[in-house]
Amino acid sequence: MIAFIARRFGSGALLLLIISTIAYFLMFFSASNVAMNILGEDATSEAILAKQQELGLNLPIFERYWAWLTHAVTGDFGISWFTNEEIVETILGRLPITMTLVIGAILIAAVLATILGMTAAVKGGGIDRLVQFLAIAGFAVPNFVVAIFLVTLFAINLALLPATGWVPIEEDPAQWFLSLVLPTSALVLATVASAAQQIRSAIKAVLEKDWVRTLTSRGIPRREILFKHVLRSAAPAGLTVLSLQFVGMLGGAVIIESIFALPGLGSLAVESTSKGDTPVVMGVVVFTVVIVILVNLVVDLINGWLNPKVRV
Amino acid sequence: MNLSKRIGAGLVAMALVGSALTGATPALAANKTDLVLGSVLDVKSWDPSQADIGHMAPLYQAVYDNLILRTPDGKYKPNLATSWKLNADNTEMTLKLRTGVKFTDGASFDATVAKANLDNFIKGNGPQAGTLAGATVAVVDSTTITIKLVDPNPELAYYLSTTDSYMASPKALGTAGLKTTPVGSGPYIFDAAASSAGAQEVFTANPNYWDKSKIKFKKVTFKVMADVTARLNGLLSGQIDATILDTKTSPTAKSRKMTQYLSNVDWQGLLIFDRAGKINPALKNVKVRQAIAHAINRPALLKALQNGQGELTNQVFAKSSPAYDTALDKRYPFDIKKAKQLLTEGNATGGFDLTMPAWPDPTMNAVLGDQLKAVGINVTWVQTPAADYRNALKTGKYAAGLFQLFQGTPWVAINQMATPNGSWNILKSTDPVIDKALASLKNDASEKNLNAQAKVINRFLTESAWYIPFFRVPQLYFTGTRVKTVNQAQNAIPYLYSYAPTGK
Repeated sequence: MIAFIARRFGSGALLLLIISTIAYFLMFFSASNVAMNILGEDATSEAILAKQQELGLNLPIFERYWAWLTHAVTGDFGISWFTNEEIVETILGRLPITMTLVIGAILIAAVLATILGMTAAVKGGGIDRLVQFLAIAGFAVPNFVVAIFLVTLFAINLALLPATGWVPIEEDPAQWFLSLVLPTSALVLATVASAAQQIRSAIKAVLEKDWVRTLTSRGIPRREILFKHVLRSAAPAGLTVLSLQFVGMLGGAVIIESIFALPGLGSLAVESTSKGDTPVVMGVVVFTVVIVILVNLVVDLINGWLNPKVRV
Repeated sequence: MNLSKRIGAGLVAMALVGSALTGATPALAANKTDLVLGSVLDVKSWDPSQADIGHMAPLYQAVYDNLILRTPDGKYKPNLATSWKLNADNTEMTLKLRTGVKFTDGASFDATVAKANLDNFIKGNGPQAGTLAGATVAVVDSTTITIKLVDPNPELAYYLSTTDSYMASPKALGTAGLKTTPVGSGPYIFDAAASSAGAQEVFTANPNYWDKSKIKFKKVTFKVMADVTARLNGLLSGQIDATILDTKTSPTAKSRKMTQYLSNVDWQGLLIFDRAGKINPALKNVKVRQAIAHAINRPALLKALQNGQGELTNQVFAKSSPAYDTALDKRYPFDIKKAKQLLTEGNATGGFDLTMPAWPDPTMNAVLGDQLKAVGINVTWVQTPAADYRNALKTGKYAAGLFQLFQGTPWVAINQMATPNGSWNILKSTDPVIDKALASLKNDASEKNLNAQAKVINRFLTESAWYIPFFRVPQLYFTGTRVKTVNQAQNAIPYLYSYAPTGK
């Protein structure tokens, strides 16, 4: 198991290096005149030149990349070109918002999708058709439409929940919870539909296995077969889907963050990329890749625990 | 009950249960002693040398005092300077300073501090540093300073009432900390613990502020909301008290009894940079530029782009400007026949090709492209990321481009569009008419002559079609029921001092 984890960490570090290098050079080739973006339309050419020198934009790209890399490996991501804030501090301030949103949504989606998927697979008939309909609807209706519907109904018309914003849990736990209800719901509704469909298919496939019939013929209670054996066998498929959904949500949360004015990592990434704030973009890239690597590692470990054969 | 109703009812039930479980009321509106503004932007740096106008102005005003205050109608009032006087040739201003003013860190304000701040602005390489380029500041005595300019500037008071004179504490000035934590003498104190760059900036009332009439709220919060839908939802739900919307979202706000404050601070249109014909020879002929102006169906553009909201115009100066000329707004009626005739007279019979960067709104490109094609002008739109659009125009490789420009005071507008080094005179065009007007201003920069020369320049810019405005863009600012405000002359949004509770 230790060798397995070490291998995953090694490949993760290599992946991180490759992705961050590509991202840095993509930023370079797509970047506009950052100094002018910072100084505004009325800045003189002398002022723009001075700002470029201040930011080191006059240096060769490889020299700039090497400087960034050697600082980044020590955990020093520098400061934002636009806000002058420490990048690690900025990201750590925003990460909890996105992670709370995404982890909350994925956990709720996992529970709901498992219940719906299992019910559809076992009961069949109308419930099965309903789950399949919801899966299609989930794909067809973008989460921003769901978000706008939820805001209009619950925040504006019924005035039950806040329309926008984020309240830190240490400030007010009740308001923190309420500020999460609508954005989390918008993410959950889209996710649960597709995940339920996948889980339904996986459970249905397991239910058709010979060993399930054998267990049934031995008189083992249906409930025990389903929850102890079938669910465990079908879990890897469900976990894989949910881990992919998690990664998708990390990127997709930006739309939800925008609609609900949540100052999360997604909105930071979009703002920074559009402005050409390379140090922030690189910080976000590194943190996001690390999160994705860790999530995949956790999923692999759980899969390995559920099915020892995959550890090989 | 059909499926959608069932789902809707279920969601309502879930929300009700959630609300009941917490036993709490949602965070809807702040109480009337709090002001919450939905801000499109956050500041880039709290160092006053990096200050900018427009959406950023109220943020800086929360914590910093200007030397001169600008009232909503554009007049000037004493602030940290109690009086000021420009010399006869508008090259030197003497300012008398207020005594007894303290910064929130305990430092005192005096002439030395004012000079240090102005020097910081001049040398700070900020977005507006060019407005005081080369100026020197001298301390006359502890309450008097002089600002000596390189070139005459009859509207120095304007700049000193906006970006150029935000006063920071001398203890903070020059430190790295000032970039993220402002320390001023203004009506509010920055709450670093409650603020987060790019998310929200929070200020609490300064208990020792020298002018209590400027403090109308105990707390001011700027919530950074780039998305217009989020701002609309925040306003309708009472989470924010005021924000700027657009023509698509404003009907909803109006239908919900939000108060609208309409102003036309910017104009939108075509900027012909290449009046010398170096990039596109056809544009050298004034008749060709005038043909373009006649080929544009402005009402159709306004309807397509702004839901018909806004004011059609042919000139770049605002209605409130002394340079404004009513007759010029009718100079270029939509007339295809006339446009074709002018193209022929301008040696561009049948039209010509024109390459421009694609405006971020594709509707504009489609409608304008069709209108110009009707007279034979074939536009090639070069796809350009929205964030790079302005920079693309500034590279100087395009003969023309679409843009939205601020309608400043006469002096600001002249320096923006007409002078050889004007920020939007990108290819540095010159003309004897402009040269003569600028020479006249150099000799006599009195208000009377400034207004007269601005009129001359306005007429020239319109007649020569250096710029082809389509319409003045409506700035649709809204407040909820509990706060009121007043539009600010020549600024996209109201100044912070203009907000007050309605008492509701």
